[in-house]
Amino acid sequence: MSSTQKYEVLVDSFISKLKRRQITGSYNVATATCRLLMRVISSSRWSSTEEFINLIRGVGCKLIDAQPREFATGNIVRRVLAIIRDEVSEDSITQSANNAPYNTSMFQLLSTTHTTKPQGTQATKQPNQDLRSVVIQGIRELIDEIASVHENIELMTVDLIHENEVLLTPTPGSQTVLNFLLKASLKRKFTVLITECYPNDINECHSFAKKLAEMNIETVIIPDSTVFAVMSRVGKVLIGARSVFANGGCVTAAGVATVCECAKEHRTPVFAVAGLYKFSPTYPFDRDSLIEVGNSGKVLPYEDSDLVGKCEVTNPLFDYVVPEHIDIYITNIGGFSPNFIYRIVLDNYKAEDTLGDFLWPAVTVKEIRSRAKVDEQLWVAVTAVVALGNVDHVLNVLCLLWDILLGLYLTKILNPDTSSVVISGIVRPRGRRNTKRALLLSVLDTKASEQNNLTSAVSQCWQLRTQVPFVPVFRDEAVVDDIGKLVILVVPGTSALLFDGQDHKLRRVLVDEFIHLV
Amino acid sequence: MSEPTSVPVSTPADKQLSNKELKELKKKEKAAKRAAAKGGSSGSESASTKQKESKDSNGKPPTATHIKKQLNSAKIIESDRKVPTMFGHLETREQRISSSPQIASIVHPKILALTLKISTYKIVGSTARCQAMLEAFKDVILSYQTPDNASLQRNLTSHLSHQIEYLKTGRPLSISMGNAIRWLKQRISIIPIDLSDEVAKNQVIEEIDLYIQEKILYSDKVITQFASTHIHDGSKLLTYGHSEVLKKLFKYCAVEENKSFDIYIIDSKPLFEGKKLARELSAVPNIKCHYNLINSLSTILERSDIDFCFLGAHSMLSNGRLYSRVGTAMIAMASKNKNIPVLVCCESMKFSDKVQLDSVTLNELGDSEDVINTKPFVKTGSNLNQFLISLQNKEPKKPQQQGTKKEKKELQLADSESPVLNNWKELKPLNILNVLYDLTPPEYIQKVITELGALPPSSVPVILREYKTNA
Repeated sequence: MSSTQKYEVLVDSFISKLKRRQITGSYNVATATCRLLMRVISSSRWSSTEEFINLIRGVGCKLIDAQPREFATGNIVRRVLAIIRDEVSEDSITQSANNAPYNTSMFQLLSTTHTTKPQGTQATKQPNQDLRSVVIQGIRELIDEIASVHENIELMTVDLIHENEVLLTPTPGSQTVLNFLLKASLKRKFTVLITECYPNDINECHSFAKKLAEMNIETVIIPDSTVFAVMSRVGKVLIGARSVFANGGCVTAAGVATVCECAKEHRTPVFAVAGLYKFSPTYPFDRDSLIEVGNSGKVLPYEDSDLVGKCEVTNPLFDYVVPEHIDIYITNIGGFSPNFIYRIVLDNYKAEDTLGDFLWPAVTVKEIRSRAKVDEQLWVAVTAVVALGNVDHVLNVLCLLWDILLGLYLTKILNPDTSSVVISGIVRPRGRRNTKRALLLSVLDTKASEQNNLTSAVSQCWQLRTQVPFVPVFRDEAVVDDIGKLVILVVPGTSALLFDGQDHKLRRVLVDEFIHLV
Repeated sequence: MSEPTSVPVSTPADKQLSNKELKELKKKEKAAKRAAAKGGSSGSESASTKQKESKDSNGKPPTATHIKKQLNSAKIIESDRKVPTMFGHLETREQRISSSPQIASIVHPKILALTLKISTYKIVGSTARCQAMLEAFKDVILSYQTPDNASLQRNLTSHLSHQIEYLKTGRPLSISMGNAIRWLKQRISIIPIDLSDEVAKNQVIEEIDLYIQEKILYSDKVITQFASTHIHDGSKLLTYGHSEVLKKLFKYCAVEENKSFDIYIIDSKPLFEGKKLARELSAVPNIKCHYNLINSLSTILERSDIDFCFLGAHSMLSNGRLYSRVGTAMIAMASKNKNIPVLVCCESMKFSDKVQLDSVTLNELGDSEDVINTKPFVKTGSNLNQFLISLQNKEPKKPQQQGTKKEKKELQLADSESPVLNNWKELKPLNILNVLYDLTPPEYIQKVITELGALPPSSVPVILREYKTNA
């Protein structure tokens, strides 16, 4: 009892620090979370691994709730959970001599032979002590990895910068970018343009510029408005990411999205640098919720008090950069295209922690797995999801369903002759509509005419690819009775697994892309 | 032959002189205040003015080349000018000591005042600058007297040229100013030779009045009417910085047409012109103002359902590109990518036959200090700056007092914001870029609304051509 209290005190004090922004910056948060988890694990007691996992998960949920826009906490908790799960599954494999390899691929979900994998539910109490020390060792390694992130990223500098190149960085607040440039200056001579990031990061910008100039790097500070004017002279844009999502998009300082858009317009490559701990397995469905809003007094200072109250002023601190505007992610484990980020995420987190239960305990991945055996039942899962109504969760599950359905088809479980596929489009209209509203509308009433285009595109591609009859379905009572059908809700912007016939490898593509592919 | 010094003093002497005196007085007051604050003595200043006055009396005959030389002799050579290599070709403002005897004898006090106002961004925006310049020219022409052995048609244009030469030292001329000057010189040159000075001068002044009315005031009205059809009740409009014609447009729609709508004003460092617009518009009851910096552009476009993006112009170039306040191109690009129509309101006097492809080759460089400065934007004139510098150079005579003052100053600075780059000029590899304009490609612009009608950016050369043949 006392031990639980002890770790709760630890967690609570950490949460208040997060809430008060006493710990900020992904790097600090990540290392602090590691330390916290280490102490929690060493001070807590559990009787089964299941309990242990639930305990860590509970802590993780609390931390995420405390600061939902700081993704590093969630990432670290998931990494730790993955360490635990690896350990548990290794144990259970050796114990039960079940040689089914644990595969993160969604296809495994569908094969009925493997679906009931002996998880460590009945793990004995005896190896608890071992597990504890092994996990703590794993967390130590994680801390080391985070600490050495810069070194590994710096290794790539020489490959990416040529002599006398002009670089532009709109994120002077990023320590990773600073280290990257300082390291690069040892081997190459180049010019760096730095945007001011007024008003939030102006001081960071000045000290950033000073540090570069002291290292004898040609440095030019430009106002944020000047980016378009100079972009034609810029060789590469270098941004630091705060957190990276599974679809390849990222959250960074305010203003960067427009800078990346400028770069795209000028065909200037954009590099994003980020340590592995910034990679989050979630998808950025609700962009509004990602962006934190800061002190508007910085936008309209006290001197302009005559305007205060008459104007509506907002000061967003972050920006979401879409994956299409980023060319390469430079991480401590190498460079990757944004399309490939989902794979990096899969390698580092376990599916159990990335979807369903971690975010949303109502319908777990396991449940979907068990329901996904037969196609009719899958439909039930979808309705259940829709009924619950939270857009984020619905979309998360829909991603999974998309994977499953493709898998069903590709593994020939889904018979093209007997089953018909129904696709209902959830459309996020490009650009001008409010994201949240559009999503909710389409979940509740998918009759809206704007979806017809997407539905027809999907139907075409689906029929071409599968020769399965296509019936577009909008959420109608009439169809609910008709249970012999599968429902796929297509969510543009999400990813799907695609079986590449040529090299027999799985590839994950964006659904948008998938539609284009066919 | 009249002495050049007598030019301002001659006919409407009282007014002109008082103007000049007023300005000098103000300058002295300012300087004295600063001097008092700095702990320096104002005695040296009065001594220097005396010296200057004594020099004033021995003026030289005003031949054109001579005058240019004189103007140049008063130039302040900036030894520590730092510009990024890429932008080394751009001209910065050539600062000159306006109170130096050579200049005071040639340049009309109205022009001196205008130059100061323009150089300190008190008058900003190409329409406002053009209008102020023409108004000043009216005074210049009024107090002009043709020398004995010259004709007004020729001598007045060269007299104006000297004024313009000085005016350029504040900031480079805007396209609209250039167009107006070209027009004015042409009008002067075709004045019948047999007209008396007084009649001719009155004729020119009348024509200037007409030009201001026709090209600026009425044009703006027509543009306002054309553009107002795009603004409806409940519209959400995006705009950038400050534009005279847009301000009139928004006010017209809200007050005359009684439409209520939202305006998202995007603003940027260092001039913060958007605040000016926000001040004007937030007082109008039908308009809901939103004020944001350019950093939050993507968030604004994502969250608010913007219907139209209205942009002002410095100039429309012949290849359809929009030359406007730096940042405009970003706004236009982002709006275009979100399928928001971009409309440019621009009087036809701002059309230029120049062609240009990027913002780097031709631009205006602002003062780097404006960017570095994190405190509210207040610009001081070059004379005051020079005076302060000279004061600082003199100061070490009183080390004790100065020490305490400096400490106090440093304390104050540390309180507000730590000036990391206080001495950025000493860091050799560090540069600060402050260009004032950028170039928006025609692809981003849906249409250009002028007083001659609304047209696509590709039709700019057509207007130029028609317009030229008319003139």
